[in-house]
Amino acid sequence: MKRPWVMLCAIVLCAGLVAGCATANSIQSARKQLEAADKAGAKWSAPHEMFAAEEYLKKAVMEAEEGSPRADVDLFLKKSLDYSAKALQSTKGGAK
Amino acid sequence: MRNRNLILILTVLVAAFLVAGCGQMRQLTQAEKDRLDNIAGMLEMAEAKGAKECAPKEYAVAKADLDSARLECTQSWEKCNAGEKPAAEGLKAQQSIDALFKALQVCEDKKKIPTCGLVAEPDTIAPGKCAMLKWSGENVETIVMGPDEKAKGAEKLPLSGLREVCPKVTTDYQMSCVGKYSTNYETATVTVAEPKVVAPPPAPAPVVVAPAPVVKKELALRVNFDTAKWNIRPADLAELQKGVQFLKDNPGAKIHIVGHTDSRGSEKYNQGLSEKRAESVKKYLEGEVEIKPDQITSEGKGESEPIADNKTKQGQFQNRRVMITIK
Repeated sequence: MKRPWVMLCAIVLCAGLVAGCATANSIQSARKQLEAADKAGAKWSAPHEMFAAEEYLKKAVMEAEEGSPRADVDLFLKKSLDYSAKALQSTKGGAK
Repeated sequence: MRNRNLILILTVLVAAFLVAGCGQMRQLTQAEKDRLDNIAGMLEMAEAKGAKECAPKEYAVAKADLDSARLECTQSWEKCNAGEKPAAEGLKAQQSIDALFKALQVCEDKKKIPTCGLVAEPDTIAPGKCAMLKWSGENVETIVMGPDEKAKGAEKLPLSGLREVCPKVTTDYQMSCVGKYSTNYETATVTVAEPKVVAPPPAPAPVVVAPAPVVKKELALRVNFDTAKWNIRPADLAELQKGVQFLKDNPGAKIHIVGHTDSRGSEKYNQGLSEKRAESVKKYLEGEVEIKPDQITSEGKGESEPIADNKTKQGQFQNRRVMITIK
């Protein structure tokens, strides 16, 4: 009789863990992209994009720590990734 | 029966998640929308004034805070409207406005370029004699003796002053003029030379009429640039005006402009930046005096030809340059 409860708890726990890890992974990959842009010298070629990527990443981390919905975290993460990509692009194109 | 219970529990859980999710969203009131749109408008105005370039960090913070404020407003009425109460600290919209004002302030401050006047009087002395160094600064926070203001033991000087110097050999005295956001460098040279012995006038030589020597006129100028910038600094306008005057006096002279960068950033980026610097000087000269297209050439050499150590700030500053040759 108690089995369904155990099963349900296990599923909910797993779902929670998976969701939590997914957020942590997304933050990690945004951070890596930002670091790559920094190493490529984007701070000089696209300072605004670099600072924007950094700020949006901070916001994403803050939202994640506050336990905000995944969509809110993703909103900021996407912006951070977009800005990092732009910053990285500027180091390749040499046009600022 | 067991299955039915399970389905019921799952349904309740899904409903709870949905309600929790939807509970986070709320429709913004017109006043809230207006307030956020006003900040967005202010951001646009600041961008048009160049805040993105002159205060990239503060501008990015303001923009991110505005997005954060929008999100906050869809989540909670209390947080969104806290700005209407006196205690608005912590409110994202308010933070965005604060960051925006900071960005505008930074831009204003950056326009104030630190400049120093440094002269040696006299600039040539006999061995064992002394000269006086005179200096004064404008828009400077500190003046430091030497080429590197962060060097260990670097001597801080008053913002204006006098100092007697008695060098044994010809010496360059360098000064770093440190402003809030940039540093400029000044150099004064004291030349140590034996006094000229006045020789008796030679016996008059037979007069031979020789052709007048051809004096080849040539002018070399150098202007420096701020990091990652290609706009001409107000401090260098006087140097460029020398070139303008030379071109007015010698209308057919050929001009060659070469842009350079320091070693920071990728090679490709620096190549582009050096070309832009050269182009910027070319445009300035073309705007000041009439120049035919075949009279002027410009090129960029990126970071490939440094003239100073790229490890020091002053070296980097010297390398961020455009060389102009007019002959």
